[in-house]
Amino acid sequence: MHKHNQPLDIDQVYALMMDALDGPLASDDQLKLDSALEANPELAAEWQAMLMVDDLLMQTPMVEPPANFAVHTIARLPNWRARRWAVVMAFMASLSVGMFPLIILGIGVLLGADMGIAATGLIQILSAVASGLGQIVIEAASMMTGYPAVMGMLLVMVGSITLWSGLYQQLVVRPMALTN
Amino acid sequence: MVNSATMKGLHTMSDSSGSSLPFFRVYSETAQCGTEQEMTQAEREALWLAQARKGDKTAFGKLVGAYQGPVFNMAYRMLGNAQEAEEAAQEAFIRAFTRLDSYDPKHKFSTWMLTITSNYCIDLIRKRRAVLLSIDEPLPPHPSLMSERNKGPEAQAVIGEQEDMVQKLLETLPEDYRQAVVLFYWHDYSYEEIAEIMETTISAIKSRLFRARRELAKTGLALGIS
Repeated sequence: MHKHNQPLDIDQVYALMMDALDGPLASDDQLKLDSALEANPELAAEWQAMLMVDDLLMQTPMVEPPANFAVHTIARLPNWRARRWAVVMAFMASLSVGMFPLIILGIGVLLGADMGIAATGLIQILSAVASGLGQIVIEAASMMTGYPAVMGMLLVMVGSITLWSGLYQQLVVRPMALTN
Repeated sequence: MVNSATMKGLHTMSDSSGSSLPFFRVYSETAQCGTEQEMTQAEREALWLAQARKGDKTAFGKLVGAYQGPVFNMAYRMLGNAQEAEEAAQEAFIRAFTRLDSYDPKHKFSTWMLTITSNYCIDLIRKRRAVLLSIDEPLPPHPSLMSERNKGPEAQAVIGEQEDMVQKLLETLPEDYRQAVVLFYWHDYSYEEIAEIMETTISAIKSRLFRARRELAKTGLALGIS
């Protein structure tokens, strides 16, 4: 690899050292490395340290994971199926709400009712629903201002339940053995 | 790298919905290529991956069982702390599970897993540095090293010292050098494979390992390695 009888520069010596750590050198290169190290005690000391560190790393075994590592890992995996179902159900619900007026209108047309009358009926239904929802919001707002302590307690309860369900997932749910 | 003992003793968790194993699907898929016992490791892994991609946690659990050793070791060597390593290794598996669609079967699953793990660990190290937490404090030896099978107290003490020394040496390295060293020494990866995992060139890996070895030798001399 390296030309004979030519003294190696420091980079060439380091290159040989790296090659030597990765596997045995050709006898020619080994001789060159040996003579370069002999001529430079500082480099020789570094080489010895490199060999010792290499040996130490080679001998140090892999660290094994704790006993229940796989169980705990699988317990933390997200539940795709439940999420997919939740998304599908939410989508279906919103779709149904959106489709409802159109269905009413369609039924009206199918039954031969006048389009104007059907549309008027639809508007009446929608305004009734809107005023009902508005009433609920107004009631909730007056409840909040009228009974702040009750609302505070409700919020604390919701917080406790949320916290507990998180703890429940972490602590209470127990793994079961896997059957192949 | 597959730990068959771990695989035999693998336990997993039921669905939170309490549903049983997806027997019919597993049965129909294994029926096409024989029982799992008759398959090669690669075939088994491909089957588990196919099932896991459909959201089957049990199948993914088998992959966790097969690769928990290398993944945990990578995390521990990178972070130097057993608790953090456990957390990081779990997070790496969760990320893999949620990103299975992006896994390219042309590459080895172990390579992909170690890429995720080491990148996550590097992120953690950088965050740790950002909040100015000291990584110079002495780290407790890993429990599994303290309970080495059939070894007396003297042997355990030697292993503990060796482990301390290794972690002290690794901590002195920048994270990308550390990553290359761990992949080279503990996971027996070639320069090409390390370059693939670290998404760089072979010459860059050679250069990092060269510098890492010099740095380790310097620290080793300072620590009085013998």
